Amino acid sequence: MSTTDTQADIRAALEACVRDIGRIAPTDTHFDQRSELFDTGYLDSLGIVALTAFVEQRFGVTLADDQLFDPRFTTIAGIADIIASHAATRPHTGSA
Amino acid sequence: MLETILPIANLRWSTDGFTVHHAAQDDTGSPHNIADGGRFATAERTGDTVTLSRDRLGLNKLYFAVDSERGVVAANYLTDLVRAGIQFDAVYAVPAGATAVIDLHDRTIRLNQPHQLPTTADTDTRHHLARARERLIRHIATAAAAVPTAPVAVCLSGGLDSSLIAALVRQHFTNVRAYTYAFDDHTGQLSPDAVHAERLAGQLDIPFRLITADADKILAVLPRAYRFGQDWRDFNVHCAIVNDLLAEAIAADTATDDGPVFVFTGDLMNELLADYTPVQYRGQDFYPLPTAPAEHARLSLVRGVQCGDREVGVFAARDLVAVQPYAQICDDLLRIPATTAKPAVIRALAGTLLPDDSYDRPKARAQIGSPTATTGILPLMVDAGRVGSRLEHEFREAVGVNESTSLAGRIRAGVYRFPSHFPTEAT
Repeated sequence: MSTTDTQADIRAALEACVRDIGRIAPTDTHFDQRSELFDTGYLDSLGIVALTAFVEQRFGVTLADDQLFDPRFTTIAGIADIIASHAATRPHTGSA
Repeated sequence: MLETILPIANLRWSTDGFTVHHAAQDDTGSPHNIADGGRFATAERTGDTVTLSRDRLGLNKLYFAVDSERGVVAANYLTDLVRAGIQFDAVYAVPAGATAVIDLHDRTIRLNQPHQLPTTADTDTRHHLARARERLIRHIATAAAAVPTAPVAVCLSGGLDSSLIAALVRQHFTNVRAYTYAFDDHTGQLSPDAVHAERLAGQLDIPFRLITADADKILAVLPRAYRFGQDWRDFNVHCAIVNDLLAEAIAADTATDDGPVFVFTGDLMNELLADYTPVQYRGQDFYPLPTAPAEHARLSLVRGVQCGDREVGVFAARDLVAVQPYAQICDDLLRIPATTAKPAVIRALAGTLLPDDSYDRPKARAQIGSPTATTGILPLMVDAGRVGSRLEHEFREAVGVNESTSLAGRIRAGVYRFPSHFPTEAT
């Protein structure tokens, strides 16, 4: 993750990625950065893999297994939060 | 405080030792080291704390629920949790290579994943292949030294992965038999894969057993494939069908043998080398791969091994011990670029063990069958309407799930769900 990435930058990059992977039409007025990505069908299981690959490549953040089920990991805004709060030294440890 | 239903054996396997433990006997006092090889799922309780651990690839499954009265209930099979009265919506899984620490008094749950698999390839392919070869041979030699007269079955598809395992097992064990599945189209004709497998078994001097099944038989084993293969996604269901057919025959042939029966397979190599391709049938795409760089696609395939139980669970349900030697060299294989061609890898691992014509054949996949006839599991299933939501529905039935809960979201990027906070109720 670039040190100059703002939360808005992260969200914008994620949105572009999700729109591309999910082939979401620009005219889809229901879709925004707070849309639920999975239950609504915007991203399927393969789309999640592509999204995690993007997160790793673009932001240098490797998501631990438990983070995939972080309640925030369902919307662009939430994923941006996870990325932003992901300390570079995050041990592979999650807690309640 | 802790209930366990862990019938699947744990396998401790390094270059120095090979032992089979059942959870009830697994009281040696030394915890499994996640960094080591083998496969295991363990559950231990100390006071109010329950610790659940799983091997790095997640070969042994470990599902659990936290119940307000019973404490932690852990099981290898989802169906056992459901039968024990656990609501399906309360079920989670320990991720591969992780230890989950559940404090029932403080109501906390913590996940430790201290040992990660390699995530990037490097340029020293020759070094990794040489080390993988040496380690593969040593592991199989160690297993053979530990159980020299044990009955050993090898699942031989006719493809490179299983051919190499058959050749190595033949070198080290004395009581070996090869099993090959073939579709029975009632013409008596064998598929090219089965013909090659039989020839190879002859060349390796391994007794050969052909297991055939027609469409009716294949559909009849579906409930077992769901229940013990523990997956509803098409590829894993299709693999579980083939393995259950083989397992049934192996179990029957070894029914009077004493001690554990080992089933060696060439499984996991396809994940470790990302050697999968999507398949089109009747205008539809099956077995699709993610749109991601090759290394990441491979990691997602490897990560996905922890969900689904097409090998260990299916064979264990017939009281057979599945042994997947490629798991023991996964660190080196994951250091090889994902774009490396399979024949080159197998040739480096095999040396002169396999005949040259083994490398020239098209890839064998019982799931797909012949390109000109409906002989594979996939076309049979598609033509029988066993796709998509019907697989989910039948999976729920086979496992005993009465809730109409959706399975969507249960597996995310190859990982079965894990609670983000102490689970207090079904969510």
